Amino acid sequence: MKNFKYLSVFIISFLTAGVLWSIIGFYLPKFPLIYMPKNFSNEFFNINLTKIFTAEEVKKTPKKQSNKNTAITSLKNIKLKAIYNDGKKAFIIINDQGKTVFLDLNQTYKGYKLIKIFNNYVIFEKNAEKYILSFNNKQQTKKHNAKPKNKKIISEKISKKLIRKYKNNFSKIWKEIGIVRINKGYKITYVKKGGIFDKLGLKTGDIIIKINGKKITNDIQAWNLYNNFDKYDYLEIEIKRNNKKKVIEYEID
Amino acid sequence: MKKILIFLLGLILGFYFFMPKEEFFYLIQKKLYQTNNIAVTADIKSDVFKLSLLKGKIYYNDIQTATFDKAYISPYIFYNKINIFDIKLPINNLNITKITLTHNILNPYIIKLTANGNFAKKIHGNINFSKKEVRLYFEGVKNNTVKKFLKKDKKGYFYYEKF
Repeated sequence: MKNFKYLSVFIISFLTAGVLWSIIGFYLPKFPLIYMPKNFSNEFFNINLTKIFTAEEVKKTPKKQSNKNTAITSLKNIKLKAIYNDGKKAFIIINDQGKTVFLDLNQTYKGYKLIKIFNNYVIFEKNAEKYILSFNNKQQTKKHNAKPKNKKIISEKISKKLIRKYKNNFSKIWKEIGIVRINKGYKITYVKKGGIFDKLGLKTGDIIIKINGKKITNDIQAWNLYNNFDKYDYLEIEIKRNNKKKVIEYEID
Repeated sequence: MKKILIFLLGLILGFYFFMPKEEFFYLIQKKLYQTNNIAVTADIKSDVFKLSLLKGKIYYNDIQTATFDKAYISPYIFYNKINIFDIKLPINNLNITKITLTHNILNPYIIKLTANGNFAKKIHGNINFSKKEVRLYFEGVKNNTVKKFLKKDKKGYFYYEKF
């Protein structure tokens, strides 16, 4: 009887902790941070590593110097990989045919003296002539135009206004559609008859595999897409219906 | 007295068992982004014992500054531990194999750090929130560029910063 008393005290306290956490959990965020990094042309940037644990100081960007009287050309076979400049110390990292070289300000490399370090480019000097070296910002964007083969394609039109309406009213979505995550993607468990998702061609039992050619395997990917739906002009959803793959295309006006 | 002890034991175990680890991580993630512009993205998995972050990326001011293969966060309430594995920094050939951060309730303002990587044999030190300072000792520094960021005393090279 005494042991039962102790056991009940233990269980009550154990469950009390659970109740407390559920109250605290009510005020905690339910979804991860949706973060879409901006595309930088530079491989690296001007990062002040010495201040890594402190708040960042806002610094004025140095104005570009005019070099009207000097000849400026690019250094061949040398790529600028990183620039470090905190106002006191400055050095750069360059790649010379696969070899990584660290250069301090006023240091000479293959006859080229590093004389200036800016945010996006550096200036070398050789035989009284100045040479500029900047980040290689050639970037190619791959356009996905190829239509998937052996897949039935259904085309639909959708307005940006409607997407925004649902995006701003998150709870409204879940009144019209039910989605659960499974191994292969996201399974639609419920679609309200006559609702927006019904009109858009989605059916109960459909498994969403890809959106705009990208596999959707985790919540972060799904949330990233969800938060950017209104930014797209075209949406391509690949689904599996009755073990057959289908593609639903949406033109967003 | 025995009843109180059993109650406390049940409460602690309950706190440990029911802790909403994922939700706490989301909160930290959001606070880090709002206050310091640091974004941590990763695939998140949680179980009773730990929170696992897989294939993580760390962005500082929208620049990808580091990636890590996996990180395990073990919140034991009185003793909390974070293990981060295979950290890659955006500078060629600078990798950290493992970072371990520990927090003990007996020293609530101190986070102890140990790490090892290809640029130093061993890194150890602490982040002191009461003194608002970071002091990390680097044993066997192999990279000259890293040395530029360090100071030297009798114990060897160290990184010191006030925040």
